[in-house]
Amino acid sequence: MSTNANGLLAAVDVGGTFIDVVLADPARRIMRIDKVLHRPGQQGRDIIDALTSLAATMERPLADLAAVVVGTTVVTNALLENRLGRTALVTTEGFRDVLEIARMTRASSYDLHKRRAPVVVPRERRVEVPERLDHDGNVLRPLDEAALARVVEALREEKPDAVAVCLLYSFVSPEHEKRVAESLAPLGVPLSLSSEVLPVFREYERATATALNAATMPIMAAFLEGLESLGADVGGRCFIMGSAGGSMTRSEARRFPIKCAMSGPAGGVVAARQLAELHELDLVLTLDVGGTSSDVAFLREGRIAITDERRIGGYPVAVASAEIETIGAGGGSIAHLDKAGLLKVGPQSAGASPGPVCYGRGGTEPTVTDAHLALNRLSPSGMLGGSFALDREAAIRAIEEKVAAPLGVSWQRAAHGILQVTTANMVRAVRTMSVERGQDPRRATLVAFGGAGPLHAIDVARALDIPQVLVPFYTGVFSAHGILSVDISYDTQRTWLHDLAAVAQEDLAAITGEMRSGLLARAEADGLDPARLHEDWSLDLRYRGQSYALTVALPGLDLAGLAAARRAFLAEHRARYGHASDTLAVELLNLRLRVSEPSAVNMGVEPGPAVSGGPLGARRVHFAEDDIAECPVYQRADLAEGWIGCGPLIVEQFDSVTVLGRGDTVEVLPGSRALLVTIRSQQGPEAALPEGESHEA
Amino acid sequence: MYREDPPPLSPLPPPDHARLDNIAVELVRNSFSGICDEMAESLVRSSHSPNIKERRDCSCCLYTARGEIVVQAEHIPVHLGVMATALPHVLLDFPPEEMAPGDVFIVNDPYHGANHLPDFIVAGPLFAEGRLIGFAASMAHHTDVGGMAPRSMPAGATEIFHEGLRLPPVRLASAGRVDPGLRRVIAANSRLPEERLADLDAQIATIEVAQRRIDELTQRYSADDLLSAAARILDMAEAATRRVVAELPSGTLRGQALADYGPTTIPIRVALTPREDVLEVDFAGTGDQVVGPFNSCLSATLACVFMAVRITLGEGIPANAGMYRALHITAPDGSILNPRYPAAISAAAQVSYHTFEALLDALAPLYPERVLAGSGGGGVFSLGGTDPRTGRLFAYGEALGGGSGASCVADGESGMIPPIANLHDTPVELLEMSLPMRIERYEIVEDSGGAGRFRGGFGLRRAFRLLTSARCSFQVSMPTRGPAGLDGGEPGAPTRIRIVSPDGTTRRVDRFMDLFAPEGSLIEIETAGGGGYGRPEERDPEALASDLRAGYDRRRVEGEAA
Repeated sequence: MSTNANGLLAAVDVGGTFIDVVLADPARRIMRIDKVLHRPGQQGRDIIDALTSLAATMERPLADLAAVVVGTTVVTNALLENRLGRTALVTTEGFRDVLEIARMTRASSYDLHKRRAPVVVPRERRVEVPERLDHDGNVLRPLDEAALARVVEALREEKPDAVAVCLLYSFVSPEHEKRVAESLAPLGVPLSLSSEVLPVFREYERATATALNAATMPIMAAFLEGLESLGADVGGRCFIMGSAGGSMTRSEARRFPIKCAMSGPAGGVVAARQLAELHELDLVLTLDVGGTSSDVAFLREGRIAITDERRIGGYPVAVASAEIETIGAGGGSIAHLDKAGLLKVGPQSAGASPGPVCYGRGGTEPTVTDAHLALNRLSPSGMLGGSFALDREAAIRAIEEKVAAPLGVSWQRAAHGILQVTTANMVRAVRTMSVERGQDPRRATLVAFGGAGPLHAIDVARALDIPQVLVPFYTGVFSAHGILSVDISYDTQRTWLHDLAAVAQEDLAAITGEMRSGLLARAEADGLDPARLHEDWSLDLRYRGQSYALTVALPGLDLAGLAAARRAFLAEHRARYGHASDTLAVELLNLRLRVSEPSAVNMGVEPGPAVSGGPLGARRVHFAEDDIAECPVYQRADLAEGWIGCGPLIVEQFDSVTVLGRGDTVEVLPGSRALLVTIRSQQGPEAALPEGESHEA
Repeated sequence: MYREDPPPLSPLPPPDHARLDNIAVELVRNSFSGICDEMAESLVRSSHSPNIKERRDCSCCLYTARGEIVVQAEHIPVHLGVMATALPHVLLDFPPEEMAPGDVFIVNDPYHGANHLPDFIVAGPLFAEGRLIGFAASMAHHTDVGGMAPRSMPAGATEIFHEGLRLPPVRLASAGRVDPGLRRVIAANSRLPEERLADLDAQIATIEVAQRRIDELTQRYSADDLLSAAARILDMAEAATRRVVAELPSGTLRGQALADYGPTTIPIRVALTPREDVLEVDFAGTGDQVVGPFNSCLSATLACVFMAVRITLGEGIPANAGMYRALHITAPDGSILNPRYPAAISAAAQVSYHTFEALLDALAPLYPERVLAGSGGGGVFSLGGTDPRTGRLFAYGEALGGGSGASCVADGESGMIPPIANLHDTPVELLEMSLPMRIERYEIVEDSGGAGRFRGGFGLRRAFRLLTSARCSFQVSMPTRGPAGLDGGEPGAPTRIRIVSPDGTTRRVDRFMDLFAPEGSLIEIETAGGGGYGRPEERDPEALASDLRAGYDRRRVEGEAA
């Protein structure tokens, strides 16, 4: 990202409670990490203080900081906790309740009391203007200026923090929305237009995204204000991580906060892409396991899969974001029996407080972390350098009492079962992201990160016949490390419904030209050099009659490009759904454009020791109920590039643990210091050795 | 030509229950459940009918080798019963021991275990190690299967023959080869033949998806493991259900609802009586079948019972055929809930709204925290004709939600599909891009929610302008009385439909009706609001003020002004 070869780079991950701060010197491959408390409103100052002291440990002044990228959950949390700005919505007359009708669906088929997410804009602040376009953009009813003036006055009384505008067919013609925006300008509040936020068909999803964008504008503005001083200190080169795998300028983030709703998880996917590029991996699946949930994503040929179907806090968030499957399975997930007596894990989580039983903070329900500890996969001296001891006896007691005794099995079987069920849930998510998308996991590499990712990835890989697992060096702060060298990007999409075979080259040129000039104008206004920007076009295609489209690359803005896109669509349709027709008409639904300024930096990791250290100890790990193996315990930092080990063994690091089973092998890869674990392929539900073999060391 | 009683289960030897512990059983169940989800995902994404792709009117499930449901992808609750009754009918005609991998069967006839005719059930056997270990099936609502009106839900039908193509259980594919003759018959009987074939192919593909996933599972589990796990999943759900039934207070819970389709209302009565560990569910006293299509079929009636049990006493118990074994359900022969052949039946879902309402009415005293007051819906509106832009036939329709019933803790939500059919609406922009019509309003009907301590949700107003002449069928729901309140709550407003012709004449649609509407007609539908919960005098004044601010309640404003 920096053009200054000696400059320092910083990545900041602002969570609800803590801020992770990473400072790097790419030229010397040095990186420092800090964690500070998140005090809203003061985060800019606190981040600068943290960066200043980190820089001091590198014997550099903060003035050497060339750029900083900030990942933030501020938008996500606002949606999840429904802390939204006081928002108004302007719609076409007759359609203000579309937001409340919410596609007519119930929140749950089988829980009649479960409610939909609260309507983003309450009815008294949803106002209508007389106007109407048809689906070709023809004006059926002109915009009523007098009525519009009255609407503006009525809204002035309501004193909203932001106003959203969503008129029917604004994705075909934005003129009426622009006119409404001009009239609203005197209110002096941020405006969010559906023709800019999400110019695609389906009025409910577009209105929701536009309203959520408006509702999070004040929140993002306050957050950016807190970063003001930081931005000033780095000469304006301060960026916000977006949902789709690129970073956004601050003015872009201010305009489109909803495009940052997946800011945090997208960082992990970007980091995985860099690792995949370095090691020339074609097909990569990622597994990021945290305390309450796990995220799974996939990358093919270096492309991040994009989805429009994300739901956050019960709302559809149809702006493009990295396609990530999230499940309620993490270290804190609670094991329990359902009414029929089957073992379930999660989605309820003990969270950080009270946390797992073994934390000794009042938790009484056995969790996944308790199972790991009981089976000796985790060390009783805990992680974080032994500063946080864990109570293994308490974990075993809880598993015995709450799971093993009711099931009539040993605590070892119960603990192992908790991990098996957890793994099964993760396997389903990984399968969704691979097999169901026509990708063969047997050709993939699973990249594991997050505190507990490496504890589960090897079992997940074994279950899906994924041949190898890659554990990056900075496992716990992998996302932050990845976004150090993320591209700056802008993206847009536009519904343009056409029979693909009938698209005329000049029409294609006209609409793509319009989309391009819109994005380039924004980029130029943000101070980027258009000559350095890279264009990336794709199309959403479907068979005529289908609703769901598949996104494929558009390699050229001409008929040959369209023909290539059609071929890619047929191949993808066959791969995903098992059938494809060469004769049915293919329809072009949406055009997508992303322009990006490629990062100039490829951030490596600190060099390791020249000679590897030996194991610092050993633990007797229960790999199954009756399968115990003595595992040497290595320290990650002691392992030299090129080191090779053979399981069973354990590699521990500051914030994570990797446990290799019998016959698995591991190598420390040169360049990234990632652990490359090759999985011994295996049969049988218990993943155990043949009977009769002694497992006692 | 019909078959009255669900045939007995096919006699397969009981599997060995002791093979796997409960943890391993859960792992297999998890895999089965993943297979169902994947089947459903594949179907929704690659189908062509708006009903399937936008409104998700489809379901998928896996069965044991004995034809009992093990797991299902949970889309539409009312499909549960159909999936349970249809497969045994297929197995009666096609003995499992004669089936081969790649065989696929189809049935849509309510007199052979299916639902109404547009719902195609496509099923096939699953094999592991060369042995039959179960079945997979998908069910999807096809837009048009012939009959006397576009979209095959004619309001004026009086016999099943008016409603479209009947398919008793027939073979659709042998060892992976689809019968071209049958495909042609199905296509020739639809106003939208291309769409039928594309959707049929998508359904067949779901069976292939299931078999592929079973093949993968057999790398980890033997056929005996899978058979044993499936049997255990059912036995555990059965045992859990029997336990909760045995703990119910003795005595009979009674509930009723008035099924409303315009000309008259039909009482639906239900009595729930625990007899040791079996729950008897008896619909004795329910009104007779009607001449039109406003008749449930037995499978839809069973579905309502399964759903009501599942969300009350069965809460937390995995929903599968094991649960059903603990229920003994009877519906009088010739009643609206179990009509005699050849009654028309296409509006079965609208009857089910009321069947479910009666069941919740019965269960409310025991489970006040789980039930809702009556929920509103507008019924089904279908239309069809020739699209002037393309010269091709079109057929379109939708089921419109209404106000949801209030609960003991909250107001009902507005513009929501009734509980037994969790469908989506069709986006206005999608509709106008593909059909010769324009939506002029899509909004909430103010004042339509029933008053109460918690008020019912509001119904929907959807106004269609026809850009070409069309034949319309209205299977209107709740046109004379709104859904009932609970515990002193008032009923919601009824459904109102009116048609304004270009010449200004207005017609009310207050009952099931087929009609021809000329180009330029405006069809304005206002669907029923939900029933209230608790007495209106007990409503929190702050909630009243909030409704006023939002403009939900104009009655009060006008009342005060007067």
